[in-house]
Amino acid sequence: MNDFLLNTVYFELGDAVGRENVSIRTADKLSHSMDYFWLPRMYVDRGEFPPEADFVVYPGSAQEVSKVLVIANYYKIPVYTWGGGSGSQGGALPVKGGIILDTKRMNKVLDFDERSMTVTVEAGMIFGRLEWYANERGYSLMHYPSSINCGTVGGFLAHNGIGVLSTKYGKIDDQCLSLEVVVPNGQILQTSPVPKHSSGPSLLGVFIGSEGTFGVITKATFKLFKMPEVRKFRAFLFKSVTDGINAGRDLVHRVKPSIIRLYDEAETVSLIRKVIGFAKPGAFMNVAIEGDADNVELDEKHMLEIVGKYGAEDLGADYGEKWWESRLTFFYPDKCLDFPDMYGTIDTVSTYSNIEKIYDAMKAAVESFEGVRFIAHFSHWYEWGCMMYDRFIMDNPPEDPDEAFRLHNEIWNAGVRAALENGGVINDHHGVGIKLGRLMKEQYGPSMEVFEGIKEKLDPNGIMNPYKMGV
Amino acid sequence: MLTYEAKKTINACRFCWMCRHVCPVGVATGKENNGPRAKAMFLYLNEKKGNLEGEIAQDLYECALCNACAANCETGYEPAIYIREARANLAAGGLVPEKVERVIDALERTGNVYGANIDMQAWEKECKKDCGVLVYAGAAALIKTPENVRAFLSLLNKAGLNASLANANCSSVAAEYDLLGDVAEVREKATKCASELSSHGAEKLIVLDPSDAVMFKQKYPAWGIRVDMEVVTATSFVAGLIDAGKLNIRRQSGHVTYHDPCRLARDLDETEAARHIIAAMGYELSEMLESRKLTRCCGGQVLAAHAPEIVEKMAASRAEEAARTGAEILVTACPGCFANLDGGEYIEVADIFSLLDRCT
Repeated sequence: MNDFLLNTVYFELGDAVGRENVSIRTADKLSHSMDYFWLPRMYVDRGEFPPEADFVVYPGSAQEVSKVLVIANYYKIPVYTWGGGSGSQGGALPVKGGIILDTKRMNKVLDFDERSMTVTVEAGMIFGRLEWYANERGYSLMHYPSSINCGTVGGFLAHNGIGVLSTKYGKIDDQCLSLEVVVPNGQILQTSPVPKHSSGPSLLGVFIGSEGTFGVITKATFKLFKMPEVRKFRAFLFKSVTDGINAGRDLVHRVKPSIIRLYDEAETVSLIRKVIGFAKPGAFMNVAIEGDADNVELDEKHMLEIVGKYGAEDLGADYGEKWWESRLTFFYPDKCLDFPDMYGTIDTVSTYSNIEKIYDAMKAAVESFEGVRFIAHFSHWYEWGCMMYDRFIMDNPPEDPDEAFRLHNEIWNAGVRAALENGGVINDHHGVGIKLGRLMKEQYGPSMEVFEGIKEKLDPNGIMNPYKMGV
Repeated sequence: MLTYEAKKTINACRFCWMCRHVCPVGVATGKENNGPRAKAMFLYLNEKKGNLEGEIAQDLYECALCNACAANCETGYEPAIYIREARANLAAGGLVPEKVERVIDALERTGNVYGANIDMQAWEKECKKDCGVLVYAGAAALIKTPENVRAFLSLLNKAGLNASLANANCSSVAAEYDLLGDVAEVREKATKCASELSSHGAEKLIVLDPSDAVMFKQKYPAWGIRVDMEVVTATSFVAGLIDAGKLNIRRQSGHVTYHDPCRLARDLDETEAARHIIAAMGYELSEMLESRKLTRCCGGQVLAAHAPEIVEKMAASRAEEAARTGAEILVTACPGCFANLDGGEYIEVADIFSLLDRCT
């Protein structure tokens, strides 16, 4: 962008949101150039600058977002909605320059309706602070992802995220009742006031998971839950992953736990030593059941019957209680995967019939790369299947950024294609972003036309988050 | 140049956002740069590429150094280490932003961040002399909340103690340390201050401002500088007076909440003395979720001196949280906090010693 045009747009944006809420400073552009995606981090690690926006804008309301989009649409400048920047798929990265629209000034709780048990909030609020707000009144949103401290309400909705209690309380698309979305022509749209109806298809479903490619989410209403009277943990060791998966399916149907985490043999080897003090082969499972004490007592009886049927060894409650207390610890420095390793989470979801096939195929595909290892666990369980949270790790990736870039993408292609070829999907709960956009057509084929049609109608100039989600 | 410790912490923080929800600056402003991650990323790239310091100077000063990030870090990293070092480097390189430079000039001229002259002779007239206790009120209290200093002195009198006020012209080392980092100039000021205080010959130094108490109790000893008397925080001293039956308190009815000063709660690990005083007054206390070591800084006086627009947002956000408890009064135990929080739209604010003075 030439200086003349830059100054012109800079002036107009300042007019729209207040001069103090627009920046062209290097520091502001730099901090919005890297999220949790390994590739931009690798650039920074190697001392390179990832692609930067031309402007960083902090609107304070849906009306201000609308003004920003009208300006961007007129000048045909890309807009990247930025919440916490805690996405792992490069979904918020300003890869084509333009405007970073940071939502974090929009951080107020607008309505707390105890009668309907709902809360309405602006989309830039840090989700953890929303949870605290609900906790103050004895409620919870029951959405506890590892990014709860750093991600925003809008960010979680934009990539359709999930929390560790999802098996009982659902994904964020199960928890959200309605949305306000600003689209590129400046219109402020509302989805239906409630999510369940026969008044046409779900508009909510169009925008949740659309990754900022159709518009900017500015407001959302969520369900509230009462804190459970009891949350009890129990760990088990199964002889095989197959036994564990079958038991998990039965648990979902009869008990509805809040947490089921089943680890593959590779992860079990390292976990089980910590739990019982010595190595033992098998598949380790951690389960949580919760609710009123009398119901939980009955659930516990049924749970023990189910795992007993599959020959599991009962390892007690200690592990689960400690895991719950430290569930975020694994995402802090020195505890999480970090440089110099190359790593990625190729999470996918499928039916019980297919999930093990995907595990085998993905493990083989990923481990065909020299020096790459693969670990996995299964969590987020449904009546029909479950999610596989797997990771590839390479200890000594190439130092050269271009070589590392290519190898990284080759491993991802191989892993995701293994999922797609065996009945899985590109991703379960981290989204698509720029990381996996190229693979969307491989999953959807001609069905991509539906997304492309919506995109063309809502965003004819293609300004919303270009090159993301494959549209 | 950054130390090994600073570089190690930068490496840990450059890709980590896990403390975002507790950073009081970021929570209030919503700005991506207001938090440790952006600062660490900048400093990392500055080390690798150079020439970024001038671009990021403003961001490095937009931090209250309240240590909420460190208290929340499950690995135990302290971003304040690299932020202080980076500030020292900016000062040495002449890259301090103009509005911060003005505050540093005021400090050098008057010994306080406000650039105000304190009439110690007038204050001394309000005190009894030749006593066993010496009160270090600090510049924030003497300039911004003098009525609370008077209430505190009145309390001591009611407890039968003759207090003398320490010479506040001994420069605000706490402010210098925050603005300039751990440099020789700051230690020299600390040495001079310690010597002046020791010359009073008192047995006890009662410190009103938790920022100053952190200096006397932690930084001075770490720098090998001695203050020849026992240093106590004002809150713990008054809690002791209550326990010893030295104050005759008329119990009150009413509903309050308490804002833990960040340096008192986190750095000095003192959270219960103020609650003890509140209980002794008979008030019903409702806690905010962000209390004790999880307390949320309201901005402090140093940040308020060069970025009042940020501190206004921080204080309003904290006061709004206090009002949500249903309390009628937000009680503070720090002159800087009182100055920031008082006069807002959400809740009445009271200094803990003034409140106690009114019911004794």
